Amino acid sequence: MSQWMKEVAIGVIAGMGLAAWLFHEAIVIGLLLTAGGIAFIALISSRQQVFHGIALAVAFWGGIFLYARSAEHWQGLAGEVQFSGLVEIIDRGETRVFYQPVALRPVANDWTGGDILYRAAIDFIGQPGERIDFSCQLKRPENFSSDFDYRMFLASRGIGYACERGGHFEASVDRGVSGFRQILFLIRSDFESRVSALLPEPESRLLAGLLVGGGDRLVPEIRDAFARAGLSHIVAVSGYNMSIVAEGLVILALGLGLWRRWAVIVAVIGLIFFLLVIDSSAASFRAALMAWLAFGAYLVGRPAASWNGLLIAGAIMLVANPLLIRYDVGFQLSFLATLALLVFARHFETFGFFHHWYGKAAALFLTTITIELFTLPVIVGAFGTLSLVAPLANAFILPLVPIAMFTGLAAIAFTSFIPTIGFLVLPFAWLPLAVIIRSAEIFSGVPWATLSGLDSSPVFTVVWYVSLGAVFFGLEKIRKRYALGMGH
Amino acid sequence: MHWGWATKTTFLILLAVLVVVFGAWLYLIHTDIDETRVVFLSVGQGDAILISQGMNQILVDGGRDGRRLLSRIGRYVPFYDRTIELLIPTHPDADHVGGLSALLERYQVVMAADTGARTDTKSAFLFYRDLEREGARIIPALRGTVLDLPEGGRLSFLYPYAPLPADVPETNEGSVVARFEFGETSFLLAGDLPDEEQFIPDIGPSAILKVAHHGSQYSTSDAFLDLVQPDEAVISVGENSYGHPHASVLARLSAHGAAIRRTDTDGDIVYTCRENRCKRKE
Repeated sequence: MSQWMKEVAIGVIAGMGLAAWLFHEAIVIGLLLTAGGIAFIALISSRQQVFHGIALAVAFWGGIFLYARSAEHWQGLAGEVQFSGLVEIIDRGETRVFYQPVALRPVANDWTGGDILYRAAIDFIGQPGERIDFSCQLKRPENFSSDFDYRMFLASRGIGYACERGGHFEASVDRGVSGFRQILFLIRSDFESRVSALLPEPESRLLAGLLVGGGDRLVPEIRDAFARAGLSHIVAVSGYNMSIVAEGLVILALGLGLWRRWAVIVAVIGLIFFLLVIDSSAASFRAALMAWLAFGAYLVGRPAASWNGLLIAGAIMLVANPLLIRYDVGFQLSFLATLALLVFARHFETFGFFHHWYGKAAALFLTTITIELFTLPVIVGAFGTLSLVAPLANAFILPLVPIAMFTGLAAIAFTSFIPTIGFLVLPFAWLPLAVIIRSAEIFSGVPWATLSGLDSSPVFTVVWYVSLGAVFFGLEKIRKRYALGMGH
Repeated sequence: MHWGWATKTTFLILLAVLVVVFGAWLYLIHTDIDETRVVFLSVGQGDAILISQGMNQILVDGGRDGRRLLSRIGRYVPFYDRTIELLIPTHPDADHVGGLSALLERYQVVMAADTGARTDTKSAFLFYRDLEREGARIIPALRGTVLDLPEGGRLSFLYPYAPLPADVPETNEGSVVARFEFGETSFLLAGDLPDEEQFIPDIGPSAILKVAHHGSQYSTSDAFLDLVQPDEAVISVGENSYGHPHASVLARLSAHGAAIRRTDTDGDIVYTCRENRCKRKE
């Protein structure tokens, strides 16, 4: 069964991937594959192979169709539209200098324009979950640069229109509340206020970024320092952070005497709760799911399941939102980084890297390089930069991340229950965060830390991943020889 | 779980290293923050000047962006100290008070100096509303008000001379001007005041001048520089569409032999004060 699902997943991902970047070529390749498949079936294949071939072809065409339909819908929205009706506040971002970003979701069933990005005044006090009467001359978001399709980036997040600050709006009449969303918002706000009450800046923002994601919490100069040092992923909504939370819960459950399998179940439930309370965004759920596929199957002793699981989960996420494959860099990076871990981690294990502490350090270093290799075309394409100090910076800083997360969480818990001892736990929460920030600044200040002004062409991307595939198969052969005892 | 000898030893060594590093870190921080420092914070287009002495802090203005302000302040105020002893908003323009609402959320402000001037911008409204809620003691930001710091150093208000009306027509003309003296070194903080030599003709020399109004051509005249005779001129400036700092101001400062420091190119500009004088930290 999983073989079938894997093939369908590969078909969907391949179809969507080709349609997203090379639509016309995707049609040609699809036709060639279908024709070749028919010829192959007619000449030599067995009945089972026929069914596998049909499933793959249908999934491939399905992927092309789904992507094309979604892209056409979002690109076909009218340039301007007068909106007037009931909306629900679904998110409220941090106050900027001149405005507050607020996401609104029209309640009317016949609205197909997606969510509305509303630049509210800095004294706007509406909370997620509240429903308000709202009117505005909506406009499609503008693309400010030819390098970045901001409009489709927002579409991949379900946002079709923007109501700019200064536009005409009426957002005052309370028309009910979505209790669940408001409760989540209030819990999250309470958590964030506890973080900011405990720690000064910029450490509190880093802790919030590590726990709930969101590199935009950091001020630009620190965000840039993290980017130059190749460390942006630790403050992005990433599978890495989620996996740390999951591993912490497993260790806690094992420490309480639960069996391994039950410990994993506890961690899954805990992670879901963590996500609901801390950050219930779709991006976080995707990151958490990938984290579990990468590490969960190892914990229950079935690493092979991760590989299939990643493909199937990736395909399901893409069927739900086809634009992710092209316009959501977070999705691309999470998927590729998880893939890198799955592909190469077992080779490190085979060669015994994990047996000693220096082996673990080497494995961390190599893992970082592996992830950087797998994500290189995406990073170069999206940001035009490549961090040369990233492997070293990651090897030094990544071990501090779980320490910072857990001392931070523990300090918040302590100060919430026993506020008087806050001063005792504060240094333990602050120090790892301060070291991470200062280290990132030092690494980013190294001459030649970053190559910038780079570009990634589709041909380069294809050649790059084909080369990585070749390396993978070579390593797989060596691994099998060692596994069979022929390497000695 | 059975721990072998090697594991135990490794664990103990790591623990010892951790304790030593932690202790050394705290010691260094403690000795570092005990001295008096004057920091011109790099907060973009706007002013924010921190005078810090151990657990005592005076903040003059807060820039426009609360996130940037908090991020810079956190580097100079001890991580366990969440109190600003004195806040001085020089005047209610957004590039001076815009970041202060965020400050009031995160720090307790004990005292605030006020000229009485107000403006009807949203950022000013939010700041003065939050300041009132904070319940800070209000002292007059007027000539004659003098504060002595516990470990040395004196802050004197030089301008304005009398409380200002809330509906002051030109907010820059009511901008607070103050002098901070530590031993032989004197800092003149000129706010956004235009035509300074006309408003404060009796101003004396200062080694370090915080250039008024981000280097606007309507401030820092030759006549004013003749009075102040600065060795160094600090310009708090960021990306802007006003042409700050103006080329004529830079030329005048150079002609008067003042070394020019800019927060947009130099980042935070830090002066450390020991014994009888203050020196810029390279």
